[in-house]
Amino acid sequence: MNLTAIFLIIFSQVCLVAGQIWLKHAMNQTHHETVKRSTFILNFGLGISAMTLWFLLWLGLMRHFDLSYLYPFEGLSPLLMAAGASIFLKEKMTWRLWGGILLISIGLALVSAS
Amino acid sequence: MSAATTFPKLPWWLNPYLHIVLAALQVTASEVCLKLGADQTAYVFHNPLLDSLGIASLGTWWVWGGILFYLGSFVSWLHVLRYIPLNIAFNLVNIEHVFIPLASAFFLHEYISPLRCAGIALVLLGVWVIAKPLVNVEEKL
Repeated sequence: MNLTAIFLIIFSQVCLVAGQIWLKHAMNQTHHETVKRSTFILNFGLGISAMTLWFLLWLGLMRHFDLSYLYPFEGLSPLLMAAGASIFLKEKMTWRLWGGILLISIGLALVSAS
Repeated sequence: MSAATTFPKLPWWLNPYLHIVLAALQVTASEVCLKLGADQTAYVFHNPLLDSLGIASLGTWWVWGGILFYLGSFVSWLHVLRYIPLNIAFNLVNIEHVFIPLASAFFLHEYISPLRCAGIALVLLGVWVIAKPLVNVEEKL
């Protein structure tokens, strides 16, 4: 596996996390009494676009690498999601949440590697 | 994690935690349907382009059922995002990684290795660690 492949794997996971964060931003808009339609559409569109890019990148990577080799990297997504939600959505992180995320990440890596 | 429970009183069928489970179950149903459809149509065409795009699989109702389940899970997921912080919702919905291997074993008769069992147990433990305080708060309310 070369540096380009590692970059693409990490970039695909970043796209997944970014897509979810934009979707969350969009859905948060729906709580306001006056929904800013343009902001909602922008965030929703960016979310769907980022997730489409993740899907296509992941499909492309699966064409070049064994599934068993590639899938353990999916264990990265809960960790990246926690960091992203904490930084961009200002969501509160607790030690318990970090512990759960770590267990899920290791579990996902084991399930995928099997 | 108290932010997770600040949503207004909703009817039980709109409870966001119920929709996390629904989203995971629908993704599981979708994966099983897509796999059944892909298996049925694996040898329909012998054109490399059509094979690699998976277009041949659109000829079976299983695949359309899978697509419908996937859309249903997306609708449930958007509902969840309205009420639950992303870092909690995203990790709870990982329960699908437990449902999918179990459904593969039950419906597709696939083998679950001991290593996979260990991984499923760790995912379950992680989901329980995250969900337990939320359940306690719900009970107090």
